[in-house]
Amino acid sequence: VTTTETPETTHDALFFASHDEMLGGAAPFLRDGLEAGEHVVLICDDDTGAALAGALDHDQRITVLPREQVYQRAPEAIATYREFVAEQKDNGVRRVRVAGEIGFTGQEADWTEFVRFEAGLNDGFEASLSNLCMYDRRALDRDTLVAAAVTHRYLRTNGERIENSRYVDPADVLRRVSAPAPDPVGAGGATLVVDALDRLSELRRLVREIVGHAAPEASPDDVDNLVIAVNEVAGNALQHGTGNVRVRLWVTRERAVCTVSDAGDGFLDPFVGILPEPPDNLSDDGMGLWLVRQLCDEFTAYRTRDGFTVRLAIRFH
Amino acid sequence: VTSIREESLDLGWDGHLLLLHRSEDERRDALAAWVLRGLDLGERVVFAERDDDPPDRSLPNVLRQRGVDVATASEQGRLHALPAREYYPEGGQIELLHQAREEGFSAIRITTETRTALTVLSVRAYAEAESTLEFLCSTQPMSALCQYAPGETPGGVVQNGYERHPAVRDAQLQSRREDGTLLLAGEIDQQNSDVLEATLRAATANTAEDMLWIDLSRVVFLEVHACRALVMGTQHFRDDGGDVVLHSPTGGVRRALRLLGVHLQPRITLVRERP
Repeated sequence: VTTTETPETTHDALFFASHDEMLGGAAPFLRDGLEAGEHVVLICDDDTGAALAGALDHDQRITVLPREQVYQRAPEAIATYREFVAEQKDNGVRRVRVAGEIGFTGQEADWTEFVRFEAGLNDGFEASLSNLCMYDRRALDRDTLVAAAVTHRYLRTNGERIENSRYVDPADVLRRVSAPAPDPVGAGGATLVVDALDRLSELRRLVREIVGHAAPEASPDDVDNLVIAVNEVAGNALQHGTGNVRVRLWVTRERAVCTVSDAGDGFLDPFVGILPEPPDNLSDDGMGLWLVRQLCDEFTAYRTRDGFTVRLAIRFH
Repeated sequence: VTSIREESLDLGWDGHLLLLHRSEDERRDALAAWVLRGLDLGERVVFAERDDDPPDRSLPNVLRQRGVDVATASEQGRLHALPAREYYPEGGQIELLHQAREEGFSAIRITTETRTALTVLSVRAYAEAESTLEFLCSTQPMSALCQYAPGETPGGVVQNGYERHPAVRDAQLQSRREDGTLLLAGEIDQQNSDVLEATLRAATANTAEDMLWIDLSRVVFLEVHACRALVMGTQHFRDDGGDVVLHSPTGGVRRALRLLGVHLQPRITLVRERP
């Protein structure tokens, strides 16, 4: 089924295994945008970016953003997209067209992050973004390609736009990825075990003490981020959870993983903390989890037999 | 290294101090530290307690548990117990200082709990006594630790307490205000952000200043609830044209403030150092 362009936010996927397939899918999409007076953003590797810019005659309305900086953590990437769109709107550009070449390493943690990013892109924007995610079949692993296949409503190929029969509602996707495989660090005994949390200040003191011993080379910023994140999730459980709040912390030289569990139902909205919140919304309950997601490398929330668990992890630099 | 750091982060035990305690352990720890400071300085420590209190609650017992020779201190008049009525003499608490001077002390510190004070004073008389004490502590060699249990004290009394004390302490947070500056030290989270908010309201309630400097250099932790308290506690002041400058935050504190957009709120500025 071929469809015509709609004014709403679009989020399409292009799968390619050759230079021609890439150009054949992406160049018409971008050219349509330029012809309609839109601006174009390329977030690609150098070769792909150069090929696309060349195909578009190096139009001056093309902006190139560094791929490594944009695709770090899902909320930041979404925030970057949002900021760019807002900036262009201020300049009188009514719509932005993005071609982003996705490059994740395929580790489990990166993969869930990536699914969140893709799912977040579907819901997070006003009608001013046309987004094309490009996947190099030769470079990406199967899990990433499968995830990409279910998170895009439309597929692009050779100038055509085709409805994706494998598309799944983003909320369902997020729920589906929210029961994580056991973490390798989590397999051993935890460094910190708290079964009935009482004072957050005491928890923070313990976290600092343990990291100081187990990861003495962790940067002060990373330690601060971990303390803020653990405090926020634990405080959330104290405030909104049911029964005793249980905390487990595993710390190695490279990384810290923390789980916070209670007997309640947890938060049902899989988007909590993913979308950027306006800065005047400090009273919003989601603000704390949003902050946590800015500070962590991994964040998952899932139901267990006994209740609800949030797991977060930070890599030390 | 730790002790030096802790010491420099502490805003001290002198002046007219509001102690907010949420448990008996917290009250005893703070009370003992405050008394020991006075005994170290050679000051007279005056205290009043309720007759119907259980013995383990009493100051002599609290001090004995911490190894203080209470009998000798009492004998020498360094530790001086008074009935609640005499703690509030008719001529005002300046008399307690005169008395101590006659007995050779150059300075005194006095303490009681609100629940004790309210057995002999009306709420209004107590508010007046706090005002007088605020004046005495800023002009005389006198300091006072006023012990408030926020959960068990009428709201109006607690609010007046915030306004009458330039220094406020709970188990995690200390603050001290002087002309247009509020010094904060310690940690602020969801379990004490109400203290910060009330402190800010009091600091901005009856001020002639149009700018409030908030020194964050001794704050080692804050989060979302604390940021909300910073915004809400200064809302009135800013709505009336006042400006708030947050300065000298440490790394993690600065990051939290920026990520949460506190510095984007109207009339709130965040600077690395006070110029």
